[in-house]
Amino acid sequence: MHPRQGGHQILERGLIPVLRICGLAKHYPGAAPLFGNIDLQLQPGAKAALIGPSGCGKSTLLHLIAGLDEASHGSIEVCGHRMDSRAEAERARLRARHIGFVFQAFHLLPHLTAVQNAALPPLLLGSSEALALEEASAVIAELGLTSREHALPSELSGGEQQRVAIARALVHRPDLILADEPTGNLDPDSADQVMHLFNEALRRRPCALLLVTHDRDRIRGMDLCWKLQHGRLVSLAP
Amino acid sequence: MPWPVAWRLCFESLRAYRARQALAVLAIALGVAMGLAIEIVNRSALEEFRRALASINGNADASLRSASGHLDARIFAKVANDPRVREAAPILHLPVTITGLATGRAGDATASIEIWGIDLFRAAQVNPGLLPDFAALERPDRWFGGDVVYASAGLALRLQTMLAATQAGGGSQEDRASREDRASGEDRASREDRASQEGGVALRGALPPESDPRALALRTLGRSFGMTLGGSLAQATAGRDLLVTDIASLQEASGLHHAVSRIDIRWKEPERSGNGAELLAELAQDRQATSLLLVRPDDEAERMSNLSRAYRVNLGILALVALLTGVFIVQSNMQLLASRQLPSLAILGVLGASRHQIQALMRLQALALGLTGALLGAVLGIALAWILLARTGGDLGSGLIRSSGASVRADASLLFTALFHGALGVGVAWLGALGPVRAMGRLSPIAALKGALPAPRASAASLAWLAAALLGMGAAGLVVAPLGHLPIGAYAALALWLCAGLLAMPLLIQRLAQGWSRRGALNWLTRQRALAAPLSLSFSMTGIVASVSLCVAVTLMIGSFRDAVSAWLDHVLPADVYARVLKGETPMDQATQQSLAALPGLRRTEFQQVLEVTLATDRPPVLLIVRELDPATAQSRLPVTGALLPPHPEMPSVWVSEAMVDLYGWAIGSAQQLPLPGVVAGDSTPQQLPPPDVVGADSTTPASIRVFVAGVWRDYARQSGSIVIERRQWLASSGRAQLFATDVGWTLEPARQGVDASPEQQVSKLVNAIDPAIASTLEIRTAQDIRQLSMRIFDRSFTVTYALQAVALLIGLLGVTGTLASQSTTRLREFAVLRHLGLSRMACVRLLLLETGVVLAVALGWGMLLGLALAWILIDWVNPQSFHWSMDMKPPGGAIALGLVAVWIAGMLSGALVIRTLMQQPMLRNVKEDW
Repeated sequence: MHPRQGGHQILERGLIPVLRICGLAKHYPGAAPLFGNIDLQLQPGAKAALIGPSGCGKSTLLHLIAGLDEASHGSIEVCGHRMDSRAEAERARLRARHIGFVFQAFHLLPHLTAVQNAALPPLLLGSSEALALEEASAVIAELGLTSREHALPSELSGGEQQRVAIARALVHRPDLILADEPTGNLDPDSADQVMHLFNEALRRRPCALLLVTHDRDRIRGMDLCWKLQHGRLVSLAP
Repeated sequence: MPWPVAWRLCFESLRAYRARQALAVLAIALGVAMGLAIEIVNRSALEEFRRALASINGNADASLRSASGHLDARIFAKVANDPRVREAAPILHLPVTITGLATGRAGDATASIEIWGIDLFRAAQVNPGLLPDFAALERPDRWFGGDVVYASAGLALRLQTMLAATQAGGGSQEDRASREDRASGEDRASREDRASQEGGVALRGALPPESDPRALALRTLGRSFGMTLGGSLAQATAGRDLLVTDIASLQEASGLHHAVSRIDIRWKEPERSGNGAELLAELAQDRQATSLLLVRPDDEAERMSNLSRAYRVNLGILALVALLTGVFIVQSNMQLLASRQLPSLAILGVLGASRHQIQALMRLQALALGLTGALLGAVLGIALAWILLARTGGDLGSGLIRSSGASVRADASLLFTALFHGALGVGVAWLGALGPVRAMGRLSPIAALKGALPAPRASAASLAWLAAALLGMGAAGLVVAPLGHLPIGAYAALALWLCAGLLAMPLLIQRLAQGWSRRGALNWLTRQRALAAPLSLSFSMTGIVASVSLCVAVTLMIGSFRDAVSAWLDHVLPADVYARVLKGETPMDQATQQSLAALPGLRRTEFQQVLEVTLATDRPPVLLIVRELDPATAQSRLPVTGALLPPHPEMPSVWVSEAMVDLYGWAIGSAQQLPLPGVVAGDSTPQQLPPPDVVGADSTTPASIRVFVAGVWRDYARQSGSIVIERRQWLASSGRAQLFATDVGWTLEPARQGVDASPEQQVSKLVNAIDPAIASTLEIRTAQDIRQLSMRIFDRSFTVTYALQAVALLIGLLGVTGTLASQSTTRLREFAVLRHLGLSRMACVRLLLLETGVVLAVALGWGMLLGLALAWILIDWVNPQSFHWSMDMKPPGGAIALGLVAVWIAGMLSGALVIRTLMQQPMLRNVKEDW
């Protein structure tokens, strides 16, 4: 399926795409282009998977989408905002408002409790501590971790840590979640449990998901699927 | 683990982070260098002093002296004939000035010279170091006549140069005039006359012909005489400037016909312990032998060593603290190294290396740092010592130890000193590695593989309890009496309180964080980090807290001391102009005093006599100051500490310095025996023989008097002790007819505006009104000059202390930079995550700057409070116990605040540098491994 086809119906309804990438290219000086001429669009609520071999540029593509890196050519829009033509501080603000991240290795801040970690995005957006903690606590409860919300990351299991990381990605109601192998560090049972909770939470929210994964099972149920290979983005059937 | 592998791993890791390791090495090297340089300089100067004494004392087993200054020469016969004595050699030594030399700065070039009169044949047995160099005699026909003098090697060389310049007409007009005056004036006539009266004995003391290119014009005890430079002494006197001549000639030239300064003795049976006591007991039965002391050859060196020991120990302690500050830098470095090496170490663990082997590897790295720092420090320290000895002669500011010949000697002692300080440097590295090594020992390889960092075992509360215990132990140390006049307990309290202050920091940070604002993400993150990781935060600031507290304490102590000295000078310099009798001149007699008191434009004139009294052979003489003073209102003229007692009805009152209470137990209200200085019985012509206090006693003159201690006063000028006695009581109790003043103070009439001259002109008028013959024997200074000179000397004496402070602060700042760099590096992943969550690069910078600024401010504030506590120990305990004087604490608030702001700015700049470097790194890679 062509990438544009996934959100076709939503486009027809006149909604602004969460993510629109046109003619994106990235190359480093003195090296072969990493990728080029990438077009991609993701509508609100759409779920897409991105696969590809190690070193193909998946992380760079995510950095570019999040405004953490600058493209060589092309444009990126997140919720209608051009990311590529803005200053770094502005990009950071857009990232804080519209994007949520889930990492493979969780990356919780070790000196903050579960609820404090989850409260970081609203705090960065300017919410008061009380409100941020309240929101974080609610999401953590949704993910079934109420009893562990005051535990430090070092006191949590891998599955629990990832659930906190997911809570952190969801708490500020982002429009787009960039998730990288969220189950890569978990055993199959924990992975299934985490993904189930993740999908349930997503179902209750209108946010889009771009999931990087190597697990073919995780592709099932996605609206879209792309493979990044040899510098080109190829659409696959989910 | 095979050693080659261990070495390779060790050095590869160190090389990978060489810039940060260089900071740690530099910190250790600076600490080692300062301590080593100070020790070498002090030791070299003291050794030189000892060598000088040894060359002079020669083979003497003991030296007989008088507590009152000089011995009656007739005792010599009894000593020489004593069955216990193998050889006895009399010596008369006096201060001397050489006048009329061509340098135009003769006073400088020939300052601190003594002339020693010896009996050649007896000295050959006892003090061979004082004999002339027979191989290089200039005039073998008159090699030890009455007018020949031999100079110590260095002095001989200088004199020859100056004599040649004089002959070539290089002397200033004033020099030549002075020389002619002194050489051809009344003294020459009177001496020639006296010599002829005494039978024309080779005209001892007469001046050599003006044409003699080696003629020296000398002056001692107010008398001028001439001598010919015959050559140099056979043995080096190690930097001490001496002239040696025949004792009879010197006695005659100085007028001290029946006086000797000391009798050096060789025992027949030196191993017998009772020799000295028995001889003293027998001599004590004789009226002529009063206030005798038997001094061992080592006593003088020991006395100098004791006198300067407190100052040396103080500098040593400061250098040690500077070195120990390096512990924290090494610790942060080792922690960074541990976190960076964690994956490698974890793999090693999984592959079979034991925890002990991994810990040994880390210790090896610490040792490599320590050894490099120690080696560099040793080289720097020796170079610094060499420079200091060449430029200051070993005087590090105290003015107590100075030796022109002192230099760095490459011998076993230097090697051991360097090894000792190097070992301290290695010890610092070892100590710094202790925490990280232990933490690594607690971490399992599996946890390490997962990237878990070693967690601290202690909590902020438990460390605070430990701090409280150390605080208590320190307080207990304060009540421990000084050990060998060293405030060991107070030093221990300093160290314990410093450690307590550092250990209390985590709790302090936690408490402060609880009150920190929660508004805004950056504030919230800063607060949470402080609450969650107070140990890590406080640890990053231990170096700067230690160095700042030390600097604040020392600055406060010096500032308070400076204030106290300034106030003291106001108290002890009430007059406008002061004059002191020059070295080698006679004190002022009654006629001179009347002449000086009758000068125009004076409101008041006060005279005082300063005498030396030896109360203990292992301590320098105590100064006895005889002056006008109303016993009932002594506090108006003396900076009295504590209460004043009313005069005793039977005993004369004395007011003693604080050192007298500490060193001799002369407590207020006690009655003490005061030996009378300068009594040599039996001289018949007191009025002609200066100084009158050396002679002039008759059978009614007591050997000592009983005095009542009516008060204690502060004396910042003499840490060996001083006693003030009122003039009339002194004359009455000591049997003296008049006061022979050594000092005079003039208070001028207040200048009337438009009528009288300016104060400067008044002083000039006063000085011009003094009889030139009297004026030439006086050193005249205004009170303002004395005050400025005193403050200049004060500031100079703390130059090395300031340098040590600067080094400690520099090491502390290096520590801030190092720990900030290491902690920021270990937090790269945290910043990467925050950036993913929407924190901009600049916001990350602001967060780091906020954290650094706040923590630095807390560290400086805490360092200042800690410094106040340490200053209290320095001012109220270390100083009184070391130097025997007290002072009031007067914090130089402005200077300290300015200094703290400067350190804060410096810390922030270094922090900004670290943050800038950090932000240039590809931070996002820290979460990239997932993608």
